[in-house]
Amino acid sequence: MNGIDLVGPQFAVLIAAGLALVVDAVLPRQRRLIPFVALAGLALSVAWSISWVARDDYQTAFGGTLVLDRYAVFFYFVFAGIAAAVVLASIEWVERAGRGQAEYYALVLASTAGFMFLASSRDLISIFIALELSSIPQYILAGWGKDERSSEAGLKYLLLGAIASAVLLYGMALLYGFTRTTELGGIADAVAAGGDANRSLLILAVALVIAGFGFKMAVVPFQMWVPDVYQGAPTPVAAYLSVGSKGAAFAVVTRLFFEGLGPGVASDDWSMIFAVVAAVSMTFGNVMAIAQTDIKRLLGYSSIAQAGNIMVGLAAISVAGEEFVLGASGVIFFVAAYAFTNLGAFIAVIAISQRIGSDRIADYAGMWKRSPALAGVLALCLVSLTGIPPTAGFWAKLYVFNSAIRADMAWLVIIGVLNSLVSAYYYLGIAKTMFVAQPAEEATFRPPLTLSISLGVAAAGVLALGLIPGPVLSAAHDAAETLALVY
Amino acid sequence: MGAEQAWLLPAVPAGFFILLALFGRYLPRQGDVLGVLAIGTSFVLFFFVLADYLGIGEGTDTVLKSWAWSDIGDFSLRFGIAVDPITIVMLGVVTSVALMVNIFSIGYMKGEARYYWFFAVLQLFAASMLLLVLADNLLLVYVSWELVGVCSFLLIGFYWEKRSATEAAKKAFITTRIGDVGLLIGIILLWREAGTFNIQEIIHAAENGEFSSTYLTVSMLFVFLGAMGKSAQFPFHVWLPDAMEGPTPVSALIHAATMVVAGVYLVARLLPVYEVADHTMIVITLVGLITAVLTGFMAFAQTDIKKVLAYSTVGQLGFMFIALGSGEPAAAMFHLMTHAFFKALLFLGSGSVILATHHNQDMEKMGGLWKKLPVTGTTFLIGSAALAGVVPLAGFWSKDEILNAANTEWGAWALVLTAAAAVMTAFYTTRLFIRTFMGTPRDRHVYDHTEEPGWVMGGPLVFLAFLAVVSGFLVFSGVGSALGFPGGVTEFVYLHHPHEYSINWGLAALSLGISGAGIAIGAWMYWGNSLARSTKLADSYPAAYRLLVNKFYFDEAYQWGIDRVVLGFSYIVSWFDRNVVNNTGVDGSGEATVYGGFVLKFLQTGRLPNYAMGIALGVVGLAFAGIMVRG
Repeated sequence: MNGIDLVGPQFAVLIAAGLALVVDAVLPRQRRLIPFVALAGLALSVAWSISWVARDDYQTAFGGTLVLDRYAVFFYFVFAGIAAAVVLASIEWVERAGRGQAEYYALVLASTAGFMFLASSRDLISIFIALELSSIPQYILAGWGKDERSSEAGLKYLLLGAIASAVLLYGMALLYGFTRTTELGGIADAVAAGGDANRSLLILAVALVIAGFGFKMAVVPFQMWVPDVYQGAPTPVAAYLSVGSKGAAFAVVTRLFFEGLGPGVASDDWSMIFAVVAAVSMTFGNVMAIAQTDIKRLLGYSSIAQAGNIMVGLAAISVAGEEFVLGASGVIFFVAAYAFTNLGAFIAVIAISQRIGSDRIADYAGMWKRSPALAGVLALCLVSLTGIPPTAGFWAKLYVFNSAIRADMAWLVIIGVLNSLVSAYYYLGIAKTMFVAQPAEEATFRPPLTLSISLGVAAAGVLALGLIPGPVLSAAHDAAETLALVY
Repeated sequence: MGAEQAWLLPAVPAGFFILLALFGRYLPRQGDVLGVLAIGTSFVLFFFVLADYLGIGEGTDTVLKSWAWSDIGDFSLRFGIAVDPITIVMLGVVTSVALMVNIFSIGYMKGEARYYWFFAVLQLFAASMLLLVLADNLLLVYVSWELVGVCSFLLIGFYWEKRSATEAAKKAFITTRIGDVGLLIGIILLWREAGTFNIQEIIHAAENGEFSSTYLTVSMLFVFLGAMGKSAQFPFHVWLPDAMEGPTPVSALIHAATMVVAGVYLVARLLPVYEVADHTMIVITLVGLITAVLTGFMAFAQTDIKKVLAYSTVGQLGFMFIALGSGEPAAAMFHLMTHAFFKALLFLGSGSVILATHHNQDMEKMGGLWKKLPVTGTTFLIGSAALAGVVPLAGFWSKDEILNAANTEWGAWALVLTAAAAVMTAFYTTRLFIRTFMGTPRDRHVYDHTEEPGWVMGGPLVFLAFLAVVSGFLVFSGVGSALGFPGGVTEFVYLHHPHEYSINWGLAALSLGISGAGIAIGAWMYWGNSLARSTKLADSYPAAYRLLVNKFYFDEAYQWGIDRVVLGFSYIVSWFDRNVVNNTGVDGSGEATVYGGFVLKFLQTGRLPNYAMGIALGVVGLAFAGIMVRG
């Protein structure tokens, strides 16, 4: 029982996934209940996480392959919230798609459990297994739609994902060969003891690992799948990929590089790689986003740029001490803020495209007059993505850029700020289209209730994190401090 | 409930603001009772805070409570409240006057369009104002400072169908904004040196000499600029008379008793800093003196009942600044309190007259209303006497304190000027009362249709009249001891020094003489129903009279400055912006970026092998670069 208690939050999610399939088989007439079974499982997971916060008795599990610390629990909350929003946003779409409702939710939940395991893994083996647990359901989900584009998206994602996994596995194998251990603490000790011998081999291993996770984060040059898959996949799934998969990759990479290859061990080998990748991703994502006319592709490129922003924080964790905590907590806070913001934007896009049947930005003209609430929330999220107060995105960028300044990477911050300027052009351009341009059609409409709820929660989150960031900032700070603590 | 929970005072009206703004129009009576309930709750809570604070006893000057707002590395922002005697006085003034104004408005605003919205904004104003006085740091002060400014803007322009109302709202907002920019600069300057926004810490830093002398003077003068704008001090005094376009209860609450005294409050809070900043005290005193004398003249020639009161408010605020500049925050806060009560009374009384005469504000059409409006007339008389400084009403005691302060600190010249302003106050107050209530009706039609409004408006008048009579006695040590603050209100406010009130018989006699003289001149000129004496005076000095009627041509001078100087300069800037910044800088870089996107688009082929190749090349590139740098 103790073992199950230690993975309780994941366990609750997996149970709900199984239960969804059972409900489908036993009560075929009650299919409408399935999403609520999924939500109940997520609620139980959150409750279990809260109980760990209350117990404040963090420890390792399963022979040190998993660790239950504040860092992991922070991400449990984030992933459970993301999954709940995606479930709510999917209900309409899945009912219309009409097949395999239970499987859809079960896959979402299974992959969420994978995210949670990723946040708590402290061993290369468990990291890889958790990554595959989260990835394989996503390949299926991306191809869930009936049209060709969705199938193409699913297949592309699967094949490229397989390549990325292979690259990652090769990097892990090299690391193991280098250190004779898969446990992150052991890797750190071995690398430190090994001195400068075989440095090039270590750097090759690091490059392979970054490439493997860079695919999931969608940073340049591993981002090519993003626009095709985001555009082709069902929009709720695209939303899920853009925040869940990215967030989980950042969660695990922060832990892996800090605990295994951290300051004083090998951080000089990778901090510059991260910084350059961050700069290139921000610039590439933003420049490409400007040229887009389809809002889903635009959000896809914008998510590449945002990944670059988060990576600025990763580059900054290469410094020991208080600066490290700044960088890591910046990454954590950014992931949480970005989850609310991007989900809000995607859900608003889902609601609008359900109604107008188009993803072209030009068709958003005058949306303010047709549905003030949707246009308002979308505009709020776009403002937050740009990083303008009083929204969550402002604090996230401020925090991450501040950590980079403290890590003596002012040049990276200058590139970041210039990129924010470029991003304002296309983010606020959408807002301008919605508020200034004349609508082609006057008819007003309201989003369905389930979408309204998830939109309301996302908008409230964006504003709450923007107006009173204090509690979450300090939670992120505490979480970052528990990294690399030995229980 | 203790002083630490004082944050509830603003929180309650803030909650009701949201409720009323969203759902007010659907509620029975459009939610006006809820407005009274909200501010009434704050008023009751105030007594808990007061009792708790007085019960804490000696040794605890300030009750502090703060919350982290954001921590980024070693940069930390905290939002918190501080409760000290100055705050207590302000809390009492704001909650009591706001409650009276809310009740009064039920009668005054009856049947107006957007009735619910009026009450909603009143709640927002009360919340912002209470937050302003509770704030323990300058950033929070600034936030609430702007919030009360927005409320003022919304309420001055409440009748937005009227062009003059929107113009006045704009003028008030822009004029105070000029001062606010100064305040913001001042706050940033202080923060830059002290590394904190916290008021207590800034005071400590200043007292320990952590600022260089000139730097501190400049920063504090910038802060004072904000206070001048908000409190409508010369040369920013022009907005307040125009602000009378708002509904009269608003004038009573915002433009007489609370918001306009925010400047006085801010300077009083920071007075320990001003005392160590060279040359600032004399600036404060001079601004107060100029304002008090100037607006005294301006009030002579006004015939609009509210505008006379508006100029008088500006003048009385000038008195408070004289006290502050003389190093007597206790006298300033004491006058702030008594003035809030009797000026709110006078404004609400004028509102009662205006409503009774069916929206007539011109004194030339009034006269003889005493018989028709017994309640309003009696309470208005009490308010006028308090303003004129008749013993033993509230205004006498606080004005006496200010005369004393000016005399002690600066000597005879300041005393003479202050006294002259006080004579003028007594004079135009007498004129105001006589022309409105005495004599015979000058407009039969108006007179015949005048009737006393009900007790929902009379009640607040009586309550405020009661305060206008008794609040002055709080200065006496005996009264203070009986109520729990030994030494009277001035010692209570004056934290650090024993400061018991002792009457200076010479000055008291002078003060009595001042109000007597002013009233006598006023009565001599206007008693009966004849303007013969004043007309003759105006005819003998036509140039001086024109100067007064046109309020020294301040508005015209400002208009000229805006048209010729500001707009001329902005034309040049806009040319530069259009041609250089926009066409070359912005469009150029924008087009370059768009072109970049267009070119890069061709990388995105959609073909799987190309993508896989991208990953492979990426790995090789990263590894190669890493090895080049490190290996």
